[in-house]
Amino acid sequence: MILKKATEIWADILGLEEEEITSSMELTTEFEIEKLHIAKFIIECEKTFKITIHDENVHTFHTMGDIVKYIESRLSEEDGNSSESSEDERMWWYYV
Amino acid sequence: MEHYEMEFDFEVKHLNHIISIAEKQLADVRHSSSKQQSDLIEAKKDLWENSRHTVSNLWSSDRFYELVALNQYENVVSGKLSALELAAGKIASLERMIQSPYFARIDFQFEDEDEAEQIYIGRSSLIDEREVEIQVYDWRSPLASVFYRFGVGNAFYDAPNGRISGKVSLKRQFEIRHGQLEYFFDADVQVMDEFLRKLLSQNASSKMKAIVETIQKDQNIVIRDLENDLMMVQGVAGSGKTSVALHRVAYLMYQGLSSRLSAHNIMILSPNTLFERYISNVLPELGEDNVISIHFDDLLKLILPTARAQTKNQLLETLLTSRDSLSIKETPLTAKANSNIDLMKRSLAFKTSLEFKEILDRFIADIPRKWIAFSDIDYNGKCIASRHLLKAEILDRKRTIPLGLRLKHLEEAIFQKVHEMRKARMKKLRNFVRKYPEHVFEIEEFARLLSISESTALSRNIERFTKLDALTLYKTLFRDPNYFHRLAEGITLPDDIDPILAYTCENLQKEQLAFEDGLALALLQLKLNGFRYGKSIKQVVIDEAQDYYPLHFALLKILFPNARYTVLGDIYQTIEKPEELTFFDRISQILDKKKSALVTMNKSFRCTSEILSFSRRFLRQNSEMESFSRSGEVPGVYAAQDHEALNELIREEIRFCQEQQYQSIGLLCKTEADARLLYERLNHQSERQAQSPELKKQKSQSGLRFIGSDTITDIKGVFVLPLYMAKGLEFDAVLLCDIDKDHYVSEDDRKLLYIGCTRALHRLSLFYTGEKSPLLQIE
Repeated sequence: MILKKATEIWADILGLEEEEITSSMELTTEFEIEKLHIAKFIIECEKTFKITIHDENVHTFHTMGDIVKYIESRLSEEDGNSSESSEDERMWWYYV
Repeated sequence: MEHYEMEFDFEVKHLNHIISIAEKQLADVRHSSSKQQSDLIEAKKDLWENSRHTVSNLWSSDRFYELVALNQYENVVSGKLSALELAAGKIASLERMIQSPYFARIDFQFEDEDEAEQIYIGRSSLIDEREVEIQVYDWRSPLASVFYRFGVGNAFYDAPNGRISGKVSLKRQFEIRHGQLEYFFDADVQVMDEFLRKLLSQNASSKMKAIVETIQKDQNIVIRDLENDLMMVQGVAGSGKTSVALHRVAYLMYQGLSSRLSAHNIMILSPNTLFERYISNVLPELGEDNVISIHFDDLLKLILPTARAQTKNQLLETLLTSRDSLSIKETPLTAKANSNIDLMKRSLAFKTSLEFKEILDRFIADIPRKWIAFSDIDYNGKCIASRHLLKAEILDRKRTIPLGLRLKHLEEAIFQKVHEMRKARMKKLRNFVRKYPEHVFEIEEFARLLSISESTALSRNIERFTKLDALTLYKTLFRDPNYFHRLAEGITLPDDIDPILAYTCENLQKEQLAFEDGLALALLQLKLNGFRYGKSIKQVVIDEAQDYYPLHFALLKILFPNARYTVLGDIYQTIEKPEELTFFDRISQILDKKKSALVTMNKSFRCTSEILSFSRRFLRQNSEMESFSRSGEVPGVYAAQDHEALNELIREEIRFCQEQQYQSIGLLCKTEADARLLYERLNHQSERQAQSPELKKQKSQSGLRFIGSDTITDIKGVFVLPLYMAKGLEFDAVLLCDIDKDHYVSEDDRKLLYIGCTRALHRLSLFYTGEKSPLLQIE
């Protein structure tokens, strides 16, 4: 669902067909992706999914898949599920 | 004997009867599944088999997390077994049953009955539906527990509706392969070791039986122990350690099953793949995906995916080949090589010691004070965090949390502030963009682009002190000897610590890390950044424990904090370091478990007494090894004039061993290089001689195989391999090659010879050209 919506947004910004976009697609200039496109995309995603995408995280998105994963985690975080999963994650660290 | 034959006849008839029932059921199950269904079953079976492969492959591809994920996934799937899958499972189980339906029988007389009932116990149960009679009991069933817990005499078991008592009048064990009864024997104790079982079947004198039973009773103490969190076994060569470990794993899994613990994950640390083979062949019903067998080198790779560290075999190869150039007479050149090797060994000993671990711990505590370059963080024209405050915060946070995580929390806190200020910042940026209207971009997007750029820079700035690189830090520890000495205050250091530090510094410039630096780096990495998956492991079994150093155990303690440990080893089988019984005290001190025990297994029963007494000459310490009464030929030492003649001698010996029907023949050389040389010589020669078709055929029959750095997966055939790789393995016949004064001189070589000799079960021969190794002279 997220992937489909994100793909729509992305296709719209780049002027591509949706079929041309895959989750492993790299967000580099090879695909004529300009930094401004990414900024646009971030703004649109925030609106569509009603989330905040932190600007300092944007440089970690290398592919469509990365963005989708990030949106997923933000969505569940804002649902309030985050505390549980990240607490669990932290438990692993404590034993040292 | 006549009695035995009569009984054998009876058992063969019974076996055939059971197999025919199983065959009938198999045909029924197959028939009842329609074509479409059976297609589905095939698909499912495929899936199952494929996923099984993935599990073992995951290890080779270093993907621990996927393994864990897969496990969880499989748990879900197994909870929802469809009827079809059940049918597929039943077919597989029946197919196995036809091969070998049961392995034991007890005659059990229930308290309120007059006659004893014959209870056959197998890996799964077989129920005859028409007569509603259980023909074979699953070994996990309550009634089967009688076989495991009691000898002949009064016995009981706990059934769901209460305790049931009775009397055992017979305990019998079978060896059934491919639907054929190979042998059976009656013994009070369940004999698990295959080797011992064969001994019993061939020569069932009462004396032998008594000995085997005592051995098995000793082994059972170890196999069945659930009391101790740390079970240590010192077992001499050929005392059946590995077999004990295997059965212990099976027993622990069985316990895990019966107590319905969902997490009974077992990790086996072993230099060879014997465990994996055994588990996948013999115990498929136990759910082998709960057992992970791994080499310590591969475990290190999981912790340090990017570092290239020397493996144990590479270390041994380096140590052993450098010695090769040494002769007994010392020249300036050999003296230098000698001192290099000595330095290498002392560096190894020091950096794997607990003293060094203490220094590492102090260093880790010192890192936030000294080695992190905190910097001021500005955002929106304001300093939001000063470097002094950041440092103070890290030092104030709970020390029990790894530094890496403390830093991550700090990073989150900084960004929390950034997020609060972001609205104001965006407003500023938009105004800024508006002021310069000459560009063609939309204000909102361009402002966002600017924010992304500056946030990226900010994030990289912060990462400079929140992301720790273990290797860079490790190098820091050795850069300044004065710093090292300050850290080590109060700790006894070796006399030549300064050459060791310089040597380490030099080594750290190289692409490949030294063995001990790899270990230390892994410890640093774990302490700094943690490691996620170790908690799911409930049992750790360590085979060939004598090869490990204190730092190994310190690492294991961090990796698997909740696990119980079974540690098996032989302090007489070390190569590059001397060990004593205090070795086990140290382990117990490091792992620091509530309850621990050390069991000594002194009875060596796998090699003949001649091989044992020959091997003993290579032992410096006085081991309390007791030999078993099986006797064979005295090991032979053969000399040849030159290589040509030597090859001929070796080939003759191989031929002889093959005529004797020996299944596994090992040609052991000192190093991998030597082994490769011998392999090429033997192969080359046979090619030259193989002009007549008849001879050619002979060559293919001998089928020589070379084992280099790979692990051995199957030990049937003729193998050429370096001695250190033969550790933990056994061969029907062993040929030790190049036992001359150039190859075997040092203390390490003496230990190698001991290991080599004790790999032989039935026949041992030693070969050399030129001058015999001085180590052979010792009587």
